Amino acid sequence: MKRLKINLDRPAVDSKSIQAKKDFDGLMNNHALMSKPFYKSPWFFGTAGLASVGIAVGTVIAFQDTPDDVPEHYSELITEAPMEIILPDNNPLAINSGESSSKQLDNLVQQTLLYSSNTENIDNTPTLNENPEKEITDAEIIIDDEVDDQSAIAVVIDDKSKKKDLNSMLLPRIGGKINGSISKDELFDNKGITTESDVSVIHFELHLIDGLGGKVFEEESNQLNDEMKAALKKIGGGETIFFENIKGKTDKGDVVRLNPLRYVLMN
Amino acid sequence: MSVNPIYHHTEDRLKEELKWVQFAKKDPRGFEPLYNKYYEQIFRYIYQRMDDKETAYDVTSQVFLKALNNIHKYEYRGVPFASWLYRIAKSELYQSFRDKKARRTVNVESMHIFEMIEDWEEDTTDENRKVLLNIISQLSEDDVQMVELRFFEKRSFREIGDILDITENNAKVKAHRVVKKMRKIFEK
Repeated sequence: MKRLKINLDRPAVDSKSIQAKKDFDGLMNNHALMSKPFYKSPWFFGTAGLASVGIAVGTVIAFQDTPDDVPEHYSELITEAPMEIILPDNNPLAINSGESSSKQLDNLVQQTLLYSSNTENIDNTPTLNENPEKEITDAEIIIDDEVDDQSAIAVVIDDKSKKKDLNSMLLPRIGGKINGSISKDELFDNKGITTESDVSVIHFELHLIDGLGGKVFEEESNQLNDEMKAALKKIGGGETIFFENIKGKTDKGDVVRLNPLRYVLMN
Repeated sequence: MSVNPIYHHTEDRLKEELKWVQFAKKDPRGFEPLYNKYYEQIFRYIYQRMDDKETAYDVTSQVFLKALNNIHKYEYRGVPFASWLYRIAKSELYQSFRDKKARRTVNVESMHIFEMIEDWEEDTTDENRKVLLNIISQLSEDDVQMVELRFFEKRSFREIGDILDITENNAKVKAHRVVKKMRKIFEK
């Protein structure tokens, strides 16, 4: 076994050369380099300790405040009477308590429609609902049809119920449906978008949403064009389709905006 | 057998040395007297077990650096500070062997070999010297260490005990067993 190397009578190193190799300053420099890193120093422990205590105290306070304060806050909200809201006279939301409930509701509908048209209407094309003249026109339509006077008077007297009927008559529809699910056959039956009134649809947009975004098709009649039909054929069941920006024309030539339509397509 | 005067201290010398240690614990500069006193002794201990002189100097520097960095851990046990340095030196030495920076070497003087042969009442021939060197090369590390400390470096059993961290009597017993083993092989 030769794992050990044996030197016989190797010359000895004299003391002078050993002493010459002594370097205490070098040792001190190395010691300074290898001295305790900052994370082991008392300064670090002091700073880190204080920071930790601060964070711990802050966390405890933060979590203590939340559960205690919330119920108190809620009880304040519940027990205190609500503030009285005073609305100005011209505010559409103001309701005169002296009037009958149906009249109040009617006023509210009218005022709300006017208010909305005065504020945030993007499309300012007047609809029949917003135009009081259209109601008169509607009455005139009946009179012009030379219905007997009694019926005409009845229509005028029964204006409230008539207005409700008129509103529903003005709703556009396809295959008699104003919303819900619709089949492709119903869509392609060549009747297009119709109303139950004398307003005929002259323009509409078909909005289809697919995975890549949305597609919009426009048509200047009440019929779905070939492009629309082709696009609708590609869509599977369960998809929602939208008919937007539907414009109608009265027999007097006034262009009105009609309610949009939304259907869920069936297979 | 002679006694190493640098290692063996009177009670007063031990107390003086302890003061240096305590001062060094407060200020690293206080380590200088200890460094000056033991540098040569530690170097010789290391170089005795190494082939390359420069590596021995490097290991010696490493020993003192480690001692200075860990001086706060030193505990006085009534023995010279050198015993602590020898234990660090032994650790660093074996670390350098493991890192393959140095090869384990036994430096022998013919004079010491012949002394052993004479003790065994054998002829001091070159043949017997070769046989004895061959026996040493086949000893275990612990046994080689004991032979080096006792017969080549001429240390007392007390000093050997301090370096190997065993009692003086245990050092005596171990040295006796090694010699007995070597002689048995020699007589074959």
